Amino acid sequence: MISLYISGDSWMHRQPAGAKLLAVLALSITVLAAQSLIWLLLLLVGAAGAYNSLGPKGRQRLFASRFLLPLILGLGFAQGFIVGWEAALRATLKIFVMIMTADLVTATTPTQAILNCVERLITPLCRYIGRDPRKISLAVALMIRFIPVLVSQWQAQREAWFARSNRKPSLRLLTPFVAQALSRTDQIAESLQARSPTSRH
Amino acid sequence: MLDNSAMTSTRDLVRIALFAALIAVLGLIPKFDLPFTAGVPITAQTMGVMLAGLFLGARNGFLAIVLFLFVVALGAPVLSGGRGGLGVFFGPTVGFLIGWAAGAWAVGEIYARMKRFQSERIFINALIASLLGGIIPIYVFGIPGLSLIASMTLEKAAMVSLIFVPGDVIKALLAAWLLSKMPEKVR
Repeated sequence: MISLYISGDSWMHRQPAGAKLLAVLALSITVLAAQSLIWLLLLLVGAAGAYNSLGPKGRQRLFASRFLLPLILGLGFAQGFIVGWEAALRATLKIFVMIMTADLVTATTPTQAILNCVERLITPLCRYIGRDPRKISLAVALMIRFIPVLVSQWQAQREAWFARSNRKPSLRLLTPFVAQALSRTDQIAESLQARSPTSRH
Repeated sequence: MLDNSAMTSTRDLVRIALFAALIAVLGLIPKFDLPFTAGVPITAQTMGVMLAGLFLGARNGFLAIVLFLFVVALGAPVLSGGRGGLGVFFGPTVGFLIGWAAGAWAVGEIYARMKRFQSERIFINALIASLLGGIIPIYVFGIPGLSLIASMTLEKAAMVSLIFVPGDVIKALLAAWLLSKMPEKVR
């Protein structure tokens, strides 16, 4: 599966998923309330250091998120003119710290571990309202499987368009695309149901 | 013999997964070249939010967005521009993402009410539902979110956000047109 997870065995990888999720939540709440520039700078350096400790892949990841830079710096500049440079710097630092630490958890926790964590968390709730918590895993698996299916269906329909016309495909192509996807969905539902008629997915 | 309600439930689940995937795919498709938006980036993904509400109804449309956001949180790079992971939930656009769920619900709810009131005009009903439900709730959540994360005033956050409304109107038109062109049996 396509994922932003980096496989490895660093100290971050060895922490339990639940603890990392809680930590990132607690840290973000603290950061939002923080006022001291020094503390925010220290946190930023700490987060960068954590990426660094993951090895070359971690450093690569740190630079991979630079597509966010224009957005965040743009926001920072806009604010600098309105509320002053110190407040703008503080806001920009906060965003960087929060995004970097949250992404650190994504980079070091396998998708399945997060999924299991969430399943464990909601199982009591599901029992209470009489639903099957495994439905969530099924929905996630189905959705991820549907993405390449939809992409290849879109490409097939584009090719069919080019076979008939030398103009650029128009938005009109969207109609058969969605209609075909929906009717295929109903076939998939029928075959899922046929395989486990007793369980309510 | 197939249990009828179990079949409906399975069908709902698969359709929810389909629309969540559709939103992901709309983020991959290069943005439509519309001449009259003058450089304002249009992510087709909010059109997916409107479509989820229109095709699935309030409850399932809402669940489709929740599933999509959940998969984003799991680390799949399915937001437009290949973004994903827990980081986006702490970034400046988090409010808009939460607003998507509210938006899909609102589109479904408004469309269902309009249909009861006047069932013949599919395009008009869907357009009103997409305009009211697919735009307003997204900004109601998005603007305070931006204001909180980026420590901006609400007015300033509103100003930078509202540039995207013209694009949203085009997406509402597209979504409504798409629903009205659907064959009866899949609608």
